[in-house]
Amino acid sequence: MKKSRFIAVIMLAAIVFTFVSCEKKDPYANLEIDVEKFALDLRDNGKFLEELERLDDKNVPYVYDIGTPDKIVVYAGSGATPEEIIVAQFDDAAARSDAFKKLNDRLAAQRKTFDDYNAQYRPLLDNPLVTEVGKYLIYCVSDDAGASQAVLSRYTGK
Amino acid sequence: MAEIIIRFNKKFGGTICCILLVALLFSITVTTTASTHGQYNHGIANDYMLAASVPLESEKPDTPTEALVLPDYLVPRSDGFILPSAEELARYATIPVPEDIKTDDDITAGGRPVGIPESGAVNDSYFADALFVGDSRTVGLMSYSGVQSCYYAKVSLNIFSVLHTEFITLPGSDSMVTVLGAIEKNPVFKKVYISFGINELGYNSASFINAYEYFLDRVMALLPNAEVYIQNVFSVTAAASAKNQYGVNNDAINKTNELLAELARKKGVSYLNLYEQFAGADGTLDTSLTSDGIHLNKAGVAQQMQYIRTHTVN
Repeated sequence: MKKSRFIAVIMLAAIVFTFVSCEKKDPYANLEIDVEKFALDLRDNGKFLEELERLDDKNVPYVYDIGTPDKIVVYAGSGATPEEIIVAQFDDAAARSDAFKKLNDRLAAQRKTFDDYNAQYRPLLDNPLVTEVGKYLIYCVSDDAGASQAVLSRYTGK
Repeated sequence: MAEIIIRFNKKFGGTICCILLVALLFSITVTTTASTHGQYNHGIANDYMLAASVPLESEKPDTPTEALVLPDYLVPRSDGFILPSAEELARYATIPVPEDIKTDDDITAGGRPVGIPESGAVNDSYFADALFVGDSRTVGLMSYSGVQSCYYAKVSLNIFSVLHTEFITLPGSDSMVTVLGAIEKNPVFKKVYISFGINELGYNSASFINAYEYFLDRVMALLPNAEVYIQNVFSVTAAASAKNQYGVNNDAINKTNELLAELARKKGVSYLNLYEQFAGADGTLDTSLTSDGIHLNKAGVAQQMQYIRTHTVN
């Protein structure tokens, strides 16, 4: 009897676990963001030490080798600081994953560069907003990650 | 429902147990995967905020592992600055330097002009087979000029580190190479614009100009038919000059430019006098063209590129 009850409990637990796990999906899978508007919002409502200007779309691939996004908008400074905004849309998950790795490689490279080049701005790289939300990649180095996160939250609810 | 299950299990108890164990393991696996994916979307920013406090392997400072044997004219600077290895220098030294480099006499006798005079603006297609090499100021050119060309430029790059810093990934390759390595693999450029000097103002000037000559020799050997332009160093704002951070001031810039002009004469290459474009009446950079007093903003880069378009050789 005890054995039977034990087995029954296990069986019920397995059914419940399976049901619950099947329910977990990416809540942002269907999220649609206006990339241009979002990137501009990040620039205008984030906090930056220098003025960021939008890179010509045709020059973006020269500066940022992160694959071929479906849409990308970049705001960058003069090079004096590591501040920049990259918002990219990748519909293909594999391409997005590869691009995300490259963004993290860029972050690592920037940290190394600013260790002794304009080192007073190195702390900006300690608290970047680097994230993947649905089909979008966001890379934002600013003077206030909280302000950037607040902008992101308005678009994603995160 | 429990009674039904119990009765059923009396007949098929063992089998049921196996099935349940498999189902349980499967559900645990699915649950773990889903929560990881969710974390990927929700917590990655926090992951990196936490990770930021842990130094990455690549952030550990380079330290030379062996004594460097350098040519006499490369005077080592102080504190940990990475100089090219003896192997790199030896390798590049085997590339023959062109013998037909013009001398001072050739220049004064009507040879290649120094300080290119203004000419008609070239179309941007002129730069399709050009190469721009330099530091953060060239990165700015790459970012904002709108000119599609080849840029081997990196923030913080200088005339010493350009010889050994591998930061260029060529198409079809996963590994990174140096500027000279990239040119060697792909010697297609017909014009080369070189821009260094702002990051080296605090250095021994003899070291700087000798390293520049060394680099120039290698470029000219790899691209014997290319038009080479040495871009001089344009000024900084009065405030940046007064601040004198890392030795950056307009007096030092003027001295550096004298050395660069002399080098251009010696080597018979073109000297692009960007300084005259940006130096105001007081010799300083207009504050409206820069965000930090040293680097050009988009408006400044537009002026820089227009100067380059209107100062070409043939």
